[in-house]
Amino acid sequence: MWSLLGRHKAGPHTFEALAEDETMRWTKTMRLRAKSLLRRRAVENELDDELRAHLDHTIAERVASGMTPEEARRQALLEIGGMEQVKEECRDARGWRLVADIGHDVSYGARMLRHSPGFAVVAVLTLALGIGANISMLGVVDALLVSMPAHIRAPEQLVYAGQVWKQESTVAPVLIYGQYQWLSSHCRFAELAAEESGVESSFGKGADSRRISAEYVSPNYFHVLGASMLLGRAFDAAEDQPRGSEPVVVLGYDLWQSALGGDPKVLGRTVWIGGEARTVVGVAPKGFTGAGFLGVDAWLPPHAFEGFPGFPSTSQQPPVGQLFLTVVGRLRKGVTVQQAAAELATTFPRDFVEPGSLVRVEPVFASRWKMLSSSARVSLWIAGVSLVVLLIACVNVSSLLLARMAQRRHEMAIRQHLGATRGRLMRQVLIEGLLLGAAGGAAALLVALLAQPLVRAFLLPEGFYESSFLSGRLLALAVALAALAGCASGLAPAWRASGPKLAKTLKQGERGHTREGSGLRWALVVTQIGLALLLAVGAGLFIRSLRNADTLDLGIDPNHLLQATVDLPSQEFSPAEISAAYARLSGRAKQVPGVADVALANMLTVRTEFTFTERSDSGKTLLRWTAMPRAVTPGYFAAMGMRILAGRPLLDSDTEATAPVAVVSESLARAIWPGQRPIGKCMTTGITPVCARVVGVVPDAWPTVSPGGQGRGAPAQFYIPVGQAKARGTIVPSPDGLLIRTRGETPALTRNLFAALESVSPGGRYVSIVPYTQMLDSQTRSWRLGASMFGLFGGLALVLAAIGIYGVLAFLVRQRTAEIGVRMALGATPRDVLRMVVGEGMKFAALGIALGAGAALALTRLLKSLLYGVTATDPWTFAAAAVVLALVALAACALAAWRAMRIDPNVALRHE
Amino acid sequence: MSKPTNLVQGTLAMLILKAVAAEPQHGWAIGQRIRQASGNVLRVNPGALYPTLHRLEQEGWLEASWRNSENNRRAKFYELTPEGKKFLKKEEANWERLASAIGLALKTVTSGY
Repeated sequence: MWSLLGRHKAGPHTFEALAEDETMRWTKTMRLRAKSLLRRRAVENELDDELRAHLDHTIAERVASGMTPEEARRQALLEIGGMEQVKEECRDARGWRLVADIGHDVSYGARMLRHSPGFAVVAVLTLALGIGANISMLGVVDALLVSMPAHIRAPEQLVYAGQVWKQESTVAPVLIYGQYQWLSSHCRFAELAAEESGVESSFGKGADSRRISAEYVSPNYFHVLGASMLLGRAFDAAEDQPRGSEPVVVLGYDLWQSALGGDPKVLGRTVWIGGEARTVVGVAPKGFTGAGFLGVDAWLPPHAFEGFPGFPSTSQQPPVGQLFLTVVGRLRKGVTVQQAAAELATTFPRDFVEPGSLVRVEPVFASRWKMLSSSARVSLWIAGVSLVVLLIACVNVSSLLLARMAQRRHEMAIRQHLGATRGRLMRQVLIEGLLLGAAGGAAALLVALLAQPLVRAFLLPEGFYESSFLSGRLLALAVALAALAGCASGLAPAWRASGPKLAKTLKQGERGHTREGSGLRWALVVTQIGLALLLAVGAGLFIRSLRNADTLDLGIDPNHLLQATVDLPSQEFSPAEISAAYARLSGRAKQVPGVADVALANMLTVRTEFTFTERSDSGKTLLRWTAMPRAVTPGYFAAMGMRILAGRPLLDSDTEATAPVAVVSESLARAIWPGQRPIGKCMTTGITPVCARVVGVVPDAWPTVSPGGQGRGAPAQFYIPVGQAKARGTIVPSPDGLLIRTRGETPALTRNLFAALESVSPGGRYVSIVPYTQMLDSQTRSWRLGASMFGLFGGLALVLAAIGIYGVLAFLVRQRTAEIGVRMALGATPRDVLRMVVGEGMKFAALGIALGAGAALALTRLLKSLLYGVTATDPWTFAAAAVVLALVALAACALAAWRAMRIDPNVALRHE
Repeated sequence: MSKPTNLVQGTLAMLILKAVAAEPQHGWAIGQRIRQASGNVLRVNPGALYPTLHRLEQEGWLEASWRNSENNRRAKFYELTPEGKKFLKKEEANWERLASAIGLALKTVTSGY
């Protein structure tokens, strides 16, 4: 109490000064402590000398006062008490005793592990897999959610501003170019820049050309992000003008390195981007990816936007197929996101707001989890799953350690009798666990490094830019995980091994503790089985989703279907020229051997829905319906592999001169003319009220399969002949792709096609040919990912759980050898033994399965939005997972029982 | 002073620091000085003295060096560091406040009887 008082009134010191004093003192004492540790031998000698000097002084004093030297010596020794004890206390006072003891424990533990290499290898491998999986997965979490894109100043000030569709909350807000231009000159809360990222383009000319990812940005983009160029300059304001300035480009670091060999004199060089000659004005620094996380090869100034509908020069076009831009802004000093959002809501002109959308301001990085793709969200789930795997690994190692401790009870008991405290014994076992954790952690780094290419390929979004995978942050995490795993594995065994019942062990010998300690081990096994079931259910749900998605009737046949596109910038080509170019490409493609059908369609990739009016024969408006229109060439249905359900397909004879016709999709027909025959009905589309007769019905084509979308039907669609589109006042953008159905799919065919198309492509521009299945694959990627990773981890968990059950049972059988021997001698049949062992194991397996099912029921709900065509509590999946687990448990039990059955009573009874 | 309690141990540290405040001393001489200064009342057992000396050295309040003692034996001499001086001053002030407080309390209680 009084020392406390004293501390409060420490004189004129301020608190800060005191704190500073304390830290200084602390560093000094640590230094002193380290010194005495390093000079251990010298300190020890000095201690001897010092105490001897004390004795000498005492003796000298006594002798001087008239005592005999012998008596003086005797008394002096008596006064000091136990010499060794004093030394021990001095050592304690120097504070390195603990360190010395721990050093001893470590070397002892290492020796014990060396003596049972089998155990050590299994335990270290188990932990290595568990920790390694977690390092990799945390790397994914780090990349997706934590790390910031490089070369951006004060990223927390960046916001997205624009409109979002109410139902699409997972994308960044967007604006069309005209709106962006209006806003950037009227916005007071932030400086705005626009970007259109992920634009596919090409680099180079002819056969040497390669695919690149480009980004259109406003000239101030680099300035707003606060990025400086590695070489050259960013765009200047003049380059914002649609025409009149020379075409320029800023290259990404990686493209500069790989395509141009890092040429230091690259500035001013002319390169071909998207078939157009551009002058290099700058090179971005290494790792710069803009505000996004996907790698960018080239940045183009906004004159590249020209020709897109909505660009100022062509703004009289209606909003069909608008190019939407992401608008990034840097908030001015002191402005919060909320203030910015409020201001945008009041200043944004009403007639800019699209029906059904909201005006939004969102922080770029704080809200990034909202904008993750479903694959990325599955990746995050898998990261969580890897924690479960680590837990199972720890439980397994814990179980192994428990078994070892049971074998070492004698050793422990003897050490306890020799005076070791419980804490000391616990520390010994814990240190063995930590040693395993450390070795496992080191091996885990290797596992993570080996798994890195796989992680990059499967778990990070396509094109994700990620520079250094094993960052310092992750290394620190690895160390922490290893320590945690070591502690977690060692804790239960340490508690058990040092228990107070230990003393009895010496008296009882081997037989006294047959069942003792198995309760804890069974608890661990139950945990393992429960966790394994959880993962098995997760894997099952994803596998079913994947199968549902794969077997879904898409309405089209994606096999042997290719899509060919050519980059034809509209500032160079008029719509008529583009149409003519595609007609030429189409004609050439038909001549290539192996090609079955070729068709052209507009709006192949851009999905636009608009309202059209349906009129009956009497001319009265009946319905407004949202549908997806497509203007196609007559071969379209054959090329896409769509069946004609009723009526006829579009024909070459449907021209501008003949009566307008349309083909509708099944669901559109059902919605507009329920219970009626749609053939011959009249529908009006577009601006001029011309009645088009429905001539055919086709299946609903399902171009997108989205997670959580099992309830959503295919969008209603209708098809009109390209040749008739203009006459009806429907605005049809130029065709943007060639659909080619081939007989078989060989690399040679694709090569021939490529050469053939490029020979007629305007100016020899790059032709990109992509299999349709590849486009669909990217849509089913999240389920494939979930199924494979949950499956992998679930399998791992299953193996570990099986080893766990077998381990405990085998251990029990070994301990009860004598008992089983007696039973058999008394007439128990091998079948009885089998029943006993299997019954015991399966009892706990059933408990684990029940608990795991409960946990799964609670947790899989959260997966709901990522599944497809299966509920999160699908009883079949749960049942299947339980059966698989029960079978694996049964196999493990049977193996242990088989060993028990082979016990020879004669040998067993003599064994003790 | 064979079995030091917390209070006594804290006091012992203060007494030791005080004993070496004037000049460096070795362990035996420190014990002697405390004994003489207290009029033979406080006898410091070596079993308590040496661990405390080592602790104070480890804390950085004392610094040790080997020198020859008055009867020409090599001995480990302890001397006060600047931090030790500060600490001693603080402890002394605390002690005096406590002692006078206890004295005051005793007097008040006695007179109130």
